Amino acid sequence: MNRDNLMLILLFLCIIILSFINNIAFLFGYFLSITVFFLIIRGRVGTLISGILRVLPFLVVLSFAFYISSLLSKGHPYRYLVILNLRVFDMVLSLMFFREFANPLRALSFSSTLTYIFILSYSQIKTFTELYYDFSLVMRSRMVLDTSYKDRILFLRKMAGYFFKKAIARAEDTAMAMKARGFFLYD
Amino acid sequence: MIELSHIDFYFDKRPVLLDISFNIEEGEKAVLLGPNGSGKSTLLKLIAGLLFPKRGKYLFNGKEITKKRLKDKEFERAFRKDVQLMFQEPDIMLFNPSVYEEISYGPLRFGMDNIKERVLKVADFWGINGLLKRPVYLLSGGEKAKVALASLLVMEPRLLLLDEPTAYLDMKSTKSLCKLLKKERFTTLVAMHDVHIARYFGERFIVLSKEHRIVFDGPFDRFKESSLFEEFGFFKEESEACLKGGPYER
Repeated sequence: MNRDNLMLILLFLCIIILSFINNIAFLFGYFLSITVFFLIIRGRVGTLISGILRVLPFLVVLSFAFYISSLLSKGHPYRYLVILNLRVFDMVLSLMFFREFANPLRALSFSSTLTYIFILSYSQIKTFTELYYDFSLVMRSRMVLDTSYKDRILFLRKMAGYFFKKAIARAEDTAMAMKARGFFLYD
Repeated sequence: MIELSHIDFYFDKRPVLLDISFNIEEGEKAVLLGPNGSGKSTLLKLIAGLLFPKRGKYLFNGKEITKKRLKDKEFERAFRKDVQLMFQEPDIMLFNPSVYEEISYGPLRFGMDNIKERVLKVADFWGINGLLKRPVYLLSGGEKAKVALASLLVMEPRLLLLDEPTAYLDMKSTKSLCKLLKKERFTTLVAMHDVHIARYFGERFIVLSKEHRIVFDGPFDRFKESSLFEEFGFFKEESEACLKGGPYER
């Protein structure tokens, strides 16, 4: 077992512990210590801010939905909202901590299948991120100024459809390519 | 080596290949030409034993390739080792952590010997020695194409199927590939839509129409003289000039 495997186990342990602890002081202390680590010891202000910003929209939507449901059921959501937000931030920071010290490919080295899955997923994400970027450029270049809101929605809908179909076709082709290269043959 | 007789293939109810029949002998270099959507990629997948025809027979070395036969794992192992297919998008063929592991994947999987020497030799040919430790998913499109080609060539296949191999390659790499295919003794079938480059990948042209049927099977010179040549949107004068002064001539 290498250092990266150990870091992965540590990450899973942290996520499990964070999922079961409801103590605000502990969750806040955890948040503070990793933040201090990133800010002072590693000097990674940018990494920290971008990590938090990425998870923020998800948290806002989740918190808002929870707040509305609490109001309808006449509960008091504030304590739970604080715990929920701290917990998500703590998990994201744990993941960033893991990325800082471990190579995810080596961390999954105990299972070649997991490594392949990770690489295929990462490669898909990378391809689709590039495609999304291209789509946004297409949208800018093909749509004249003052395009109606309806047209924009239609374009986005078509883009979503394209991504869905492309993902399925690509998955089928990938499976075929793996088959052709002997991936599914017995050892 | 391969014999196709009266092959029909449909996607749902849409015909993709209709009444396809031809043979390719051991060591032959053939080009599969046709417009977009004519069924070239599907035909290559069918020859690679990844898709199966609705009607007709496909024989590889005298044995019919069917779903049932490929369930015989020993047969499948031998078949997959002999037949290597490069997909149109090289990206989807690559799933290993580093370039070295990607190229050595096939030889390891099929129990070949001298793996390191084989990998270094093929990497040297494609000029990718400097990339061997790099993760494949971070490479550029052209580099990925070279890694995919290297991963297939390292297997020393008997039949090499290439689907638009020059799409991501620069001129120099295309020229190297042409030279290599001419020099090596394995059988090749290269799918393309550009006749000017296709000319250098093989002497025999098998041409698919947009109606998914074979409309020509013969040498390039005869194809050039046929009425199909211009029907396919190629211009004789342009072609002559391109062939005479083309980058692959020397």
